[in-house]
Amino acid sequence: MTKELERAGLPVAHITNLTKIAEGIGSKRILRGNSVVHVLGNPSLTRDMEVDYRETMLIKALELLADKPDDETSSVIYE
Amino acid sequence: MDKCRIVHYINQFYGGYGGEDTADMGIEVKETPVGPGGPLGKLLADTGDIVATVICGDNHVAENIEGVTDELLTIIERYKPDLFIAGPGFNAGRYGLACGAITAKVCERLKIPAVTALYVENPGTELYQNRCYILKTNDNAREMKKVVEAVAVFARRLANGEEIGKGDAENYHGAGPAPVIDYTTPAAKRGIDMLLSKLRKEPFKTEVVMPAHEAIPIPTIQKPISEVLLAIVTDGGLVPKGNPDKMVPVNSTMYKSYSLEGKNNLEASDYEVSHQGYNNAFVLQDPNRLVPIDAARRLVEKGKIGKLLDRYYTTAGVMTPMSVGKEIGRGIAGELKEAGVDAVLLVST
Repeated sequence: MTKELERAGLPVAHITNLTKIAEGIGSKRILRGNSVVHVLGNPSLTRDMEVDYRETMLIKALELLADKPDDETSSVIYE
Repeated sequence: MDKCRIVHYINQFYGGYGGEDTADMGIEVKETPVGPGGPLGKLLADTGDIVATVICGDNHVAENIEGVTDELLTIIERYKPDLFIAGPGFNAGRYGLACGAITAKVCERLKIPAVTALYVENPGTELYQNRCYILKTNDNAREMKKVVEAVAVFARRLANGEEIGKGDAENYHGAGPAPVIDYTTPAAKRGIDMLLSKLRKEPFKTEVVMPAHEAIPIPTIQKPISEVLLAIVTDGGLVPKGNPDKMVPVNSTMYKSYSLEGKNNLEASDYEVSHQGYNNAFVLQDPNRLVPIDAARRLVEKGKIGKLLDRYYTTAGVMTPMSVGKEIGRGIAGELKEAGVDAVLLVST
């Protein structure tokens, strides 16, 4: 999906825990999620804190989107 | 080396029978080079002779690809070829399909070197690039001379039994022919042998060829993030309560978009998950953990994101073949482009 979106000219930030798979299928901007079962969540936090946490994650994803990876051949992965 | 026997496959157009008007024609064989076989034969004169040109109408073969390629195979086998060449087919869809299918079949069943040449977007490329050599061409037959030369060079190397490297270096699509595995040797021994060869820096052939992904230029955002229209896409299967579109939880071939209008966050009571591939309890508890609308809205408010697309896209990415994933991706991409989206967050479970 990433590749087809990017082929259409849409930059994609891929948020997932399975960063290796994401890299393998050709995602270039990858952000590691918290867990496979709550990619953008953290159930150990209070609800308010969790939204803050999520916001921080999205800011990282936006940073990935704003940058252009230097190397066309490899992916940038925020662990 | 003795001169090798070459069989060449082309369609009705290159065979000189006509265009679409004759695309239904069945199989014809000429025991001479025809069309692109002329220059191809000349370039390969030192290696072998084109002993037969097999010609078939594009519709005839494309409408019954398995059956007709089996027929073609029987005919090709009769000429006892040492080398097989199809096309080049450039971006011609039905012709490319035929070129890929017959080249793969010749390679796998007759176990002789075989090659064709197609454009990357040709449907034949995606289907057969990991079963035979498909050299890269551009989408236009104006390049015929250049491509025929490249095919001749490659075919000569195949005929001479030369080592062929990986697709990127050798200018073919995908992984090329599937590796031949000798099952009379136990897997454990084959594995250890490969490892020893690797340690000794000797050549070895992997049995598990990873799909080679074509490189796409990495797109960039042409404006500040604070002005972009952002879309959220997930393969985690989040759907509205009741699953109104009956989205399947596994092997999905569909995607849907659902409205986010007026929502500052996703309420657990409004959503469910149709996805068989992960424990979705945490997402059911708080759907924002998958489709982060609460945080995204805040960032919009703070001016960090321009706007959020007022719907999210969803599918269930479980057991989805690559080809279906691509189709889903293409569909979503089309809709997002139309909506003027600048960038995408893809959340994958």
